[in-house]
Amino acid sequence: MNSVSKLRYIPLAFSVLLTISLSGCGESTSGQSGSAFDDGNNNGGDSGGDNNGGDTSSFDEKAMIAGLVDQVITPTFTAFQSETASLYNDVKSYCEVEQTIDDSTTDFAARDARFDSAKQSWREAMTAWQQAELMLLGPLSANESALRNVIYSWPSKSLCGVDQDTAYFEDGVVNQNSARPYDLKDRTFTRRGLLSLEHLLFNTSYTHNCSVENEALAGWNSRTEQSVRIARCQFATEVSKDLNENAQSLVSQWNAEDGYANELKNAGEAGNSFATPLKAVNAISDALFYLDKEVKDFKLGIPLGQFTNSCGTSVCSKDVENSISMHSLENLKANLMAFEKLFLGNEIGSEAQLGFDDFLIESNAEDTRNLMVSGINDAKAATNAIETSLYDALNNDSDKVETTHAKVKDVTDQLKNDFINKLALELPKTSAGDND
Amino acid sequence: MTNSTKLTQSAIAVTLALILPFANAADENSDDGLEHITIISHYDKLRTEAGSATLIGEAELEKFEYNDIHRILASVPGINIREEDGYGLRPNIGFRGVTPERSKKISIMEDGVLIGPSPYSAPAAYYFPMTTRMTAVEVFKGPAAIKHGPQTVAGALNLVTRQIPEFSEGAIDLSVGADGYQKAHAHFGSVVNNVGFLLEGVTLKADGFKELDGGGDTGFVKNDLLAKFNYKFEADGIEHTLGLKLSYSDEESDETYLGLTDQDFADTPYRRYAASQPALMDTEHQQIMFSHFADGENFSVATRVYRNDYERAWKKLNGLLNSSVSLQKILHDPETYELAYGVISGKIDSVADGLPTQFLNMGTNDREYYSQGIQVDADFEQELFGFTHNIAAGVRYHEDEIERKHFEETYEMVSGIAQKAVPDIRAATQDIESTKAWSVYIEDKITLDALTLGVGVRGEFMDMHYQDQRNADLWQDKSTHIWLPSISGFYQLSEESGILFGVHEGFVPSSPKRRASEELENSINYEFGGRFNDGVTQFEVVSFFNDYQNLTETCGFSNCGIIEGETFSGGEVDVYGVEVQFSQSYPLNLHIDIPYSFVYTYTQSEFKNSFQSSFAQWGLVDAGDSLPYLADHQATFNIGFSGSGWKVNFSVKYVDEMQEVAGTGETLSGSIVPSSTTLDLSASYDFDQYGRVYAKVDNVFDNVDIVSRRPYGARPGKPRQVSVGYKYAF
Repeated sequence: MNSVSKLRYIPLAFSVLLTISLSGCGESTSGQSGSAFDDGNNNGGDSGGDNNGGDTSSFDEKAMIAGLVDQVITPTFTAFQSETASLYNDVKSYCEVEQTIDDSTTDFAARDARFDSAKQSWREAMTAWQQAELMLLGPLSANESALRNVIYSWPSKSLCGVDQDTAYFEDGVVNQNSARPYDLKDRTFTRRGLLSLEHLLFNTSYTHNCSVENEALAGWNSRTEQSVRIARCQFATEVSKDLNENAQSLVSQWNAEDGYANELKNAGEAGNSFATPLKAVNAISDALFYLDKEVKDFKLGIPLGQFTNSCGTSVCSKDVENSISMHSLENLKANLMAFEKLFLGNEIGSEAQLGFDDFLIESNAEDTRNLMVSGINDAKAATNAIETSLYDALNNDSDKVETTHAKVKDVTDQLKNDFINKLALELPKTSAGDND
Repeated sequence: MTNSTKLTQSAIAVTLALILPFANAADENSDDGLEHITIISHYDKLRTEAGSATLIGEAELEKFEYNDIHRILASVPGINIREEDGYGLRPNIGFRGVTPERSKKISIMEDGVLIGPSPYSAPAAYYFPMTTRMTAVEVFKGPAAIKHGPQTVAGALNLVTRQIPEFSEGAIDLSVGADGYQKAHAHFGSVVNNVGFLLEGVTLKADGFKELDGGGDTGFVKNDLLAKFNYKFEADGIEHTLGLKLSYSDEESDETYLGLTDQDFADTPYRRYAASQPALMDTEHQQIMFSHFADGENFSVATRVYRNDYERAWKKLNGLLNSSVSLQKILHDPETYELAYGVISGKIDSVADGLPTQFLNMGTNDREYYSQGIQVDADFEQELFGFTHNIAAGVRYHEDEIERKHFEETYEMVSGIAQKAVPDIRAATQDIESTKAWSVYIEDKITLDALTLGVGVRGEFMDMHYQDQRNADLWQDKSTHIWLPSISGFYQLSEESGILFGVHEGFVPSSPKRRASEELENSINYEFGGRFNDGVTQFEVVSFFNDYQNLTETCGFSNCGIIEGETFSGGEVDVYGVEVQFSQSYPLNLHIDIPYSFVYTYTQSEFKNSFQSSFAQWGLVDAGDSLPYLADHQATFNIGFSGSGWKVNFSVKYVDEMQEVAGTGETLSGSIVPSSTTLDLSASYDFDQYGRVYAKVDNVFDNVDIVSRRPYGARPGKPRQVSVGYKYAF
């Protein structure tokens, strides 16, 4: 090849070299952000605030996770399972007696005692469950919370749906269609679980709640009170049996060798879905946000009229969580207790365990820890100051409910800001923003 | 001096250094004017450009008088589309497998200038130019897209407006049709004392084809005005054209994101639930552009200075208050969420005894955008070292911004009517995202005997800012730069055939709000194919392979149907396929010619990793799962019959089934958008100096198909629509 020929290839060579060299330059992105901006590292802001990346290297996150799983979450689920077993037995036992009642019965004491016992069992199961509501993890959040919803569908509920299913169960088929044999397992969650049982056990109105009466409900409102009580207790027996099975399923899924309890405890290990222990900590902290949305806004804010409710924007007692059983205040107390256990690693007064409080101290955020502990105590005190049901308090003493809301908000304000920032965690994926 | 500034300057220097030595080169194809961004040969001879480029000219566009860009693009291979409202008001267009969502991953231009409301900061194309007044549509994929950023993974779409005529000419076009369809379109242009002008106006409306529970319109009204002026002069042997373009458009459409449950779709596909009664999209767009075009013997340089302003407010149902369940989930499983479904469909009041309250959360996404900049594009031809170099180079400085002023209102359902419950409004997202960007490109096409080799590179340098208006500490500033090389070639085998190949790196800018620490979306894209054209038969087969290092998605109202702004990474993804075009004209006799064409696209995609994503269209993905809304097979067959004065055209489009979600565990996992076949028909008769009458039928067989279940619930395509029109040109 002569020199002229070689020259011909210079532009080509230059272009190729340019391309190759530039592709080597590749790309780069750099940024600065404000203290409230979640930059994914929580250490990117060099202006606009005192964002602390959290020197957490000395803290044993895995030990905290193991403690929370073994000392708090697993016992909560196990206790709930045990309560549902008692509930099933008590409802079944009550219904056996209820079915013996007829026109000739004059002594209702045995029936009433067993009925009271069944209702008490429901309250205890509900209290246990309200602690689990702060732990909606793994099997309880999988498949769009399918298992959680069949246990407790709130805030979705359908009294009409439960009435319909009471009739369907009695008939053995769905809406008198012989081609559709009734199976509670196939039914939607608003007809199952603790909310369905609340209506079946506590509602003293015996007419149905549907605006349109379908074929299965035809004639329902002319039935005797006793026949409705029997229909309800029979269906309640089936629902409580299903509830107990679902609770067993929760515990077995949770505790399985490849279950979520081990998934959390082995975070950061090869093959684990949590790349780091901190990601597992984040999953648990996501669950804590139940206190913000569900407790503060749904259970307190809506009945207080802070959001639009059934009464417009005024105080509206009928919008409380369990308006039939009047169990809403106990639910709040249980929610706060569960939050406290997760935060401290155990209840105040019990043997100290590693919890988020220790994590905050290790992250040089003792102020935040102290504010949250005092906030939890103040919120508990505010609920204890309500001496009637939440329903009655809203009607007669709404200031106390306002105080409870304010105290819960003190905790969640810390939770959403300093708690997340100091521990280098991420906020849960909630309706925090929007895009296009 | 910051790093990015240095890099910006070095980029400009590189560009200028490469441009200047060739400043006396030539471009022989300057006649097509400023509106076209690249000169694409027509199909009468073998095209020798490397890279995939498609031109749909005015005659093609006139065949069906489409107003919907989705239908126009059916004749271009490699286009994937998700329909939404049936009229194409807010198009969802992707190329070669990129998400079609709001066309945000393609670069959309009008007359060579970025036309999206905010192409860098918020690329979702809520403004899309009215296609009725376009005289050509240009599509660039593969390495051909490197000249048109910022979105370069998929390609670019340029809409070409009418050019100012050389002599006085004008036309009117009037049309009416079913469902209250009306079109009035007129233009007139002339040249007076070397000053050319063009005035054009279009108004388009329809009452809509859906039946709204409780009554009301479901259609739209769009108006569009365009004025163009130019002044031509010659100096030193160079022809100069100075141009001014002004445009205004507005739209009011009674459009909603709310679809139907599958059961309701089966019963009454064109129904709309009562909760969508207040829905309204209200938009206004203005553009001003100055241009200068210098056309010398050996070069051409086009300079454009542009400013676009866009405002929009879309009121629509966001969800139910006092409930965290999404509308998508409610409509997917209405039995479970029977109360919520009852309220949405108007059967149950928001406040009913014994039931939890279910108020409607009506959100208005009120936004203001601007987009402005200056760009210079130059073409030169130069003989150097015995080779012919065709060099295209350009530089652009661009700024854009989106300001979100979203708010929500509480509505209640009362006896089947959605009405405002409380006077207050709640502020929702209040933020600003803005970008200042430099971009440069250079491409050298070197002719080496039968081989035309193209080597190019594009640089993008972006400074972005995000500020939440309600929290002073919620902000981010970030700078990004990226170099994107490309290489392409065409080897001419004979006078009639050749093979083409190309490799380029593509990239999609991340929004200012997205974390600086997150990985950018980019891909290496390959294409290989061949062309044949003997003047009678035109045939092209191109295979492509897009190798994504990181595919990203952003959740928004229109794709996830939930109120989130999260960005998700899908990691490595492969998209590959084949695009086929075939056209021929069969002379039946001396008077009747039968042109027909066939376009086919085969596409496959594959996630390379297993992962769990909260992105509603991905879910729990196993390696090997394919992308959502991507049909394996798409085909369009067009055939026309024309005689003395009359023409009849048929277009059949087939789209294979598509999955709504890639993986499992999401609400729509397992749901399929069924395959569809649509036949459109048009006919016209030319009365010579008395004008031309035309009639057309879209969706001749009145097929009722689910076109997607997003944003919320099943949605139909347009039913059969018959329209007639009259066109008179002078």
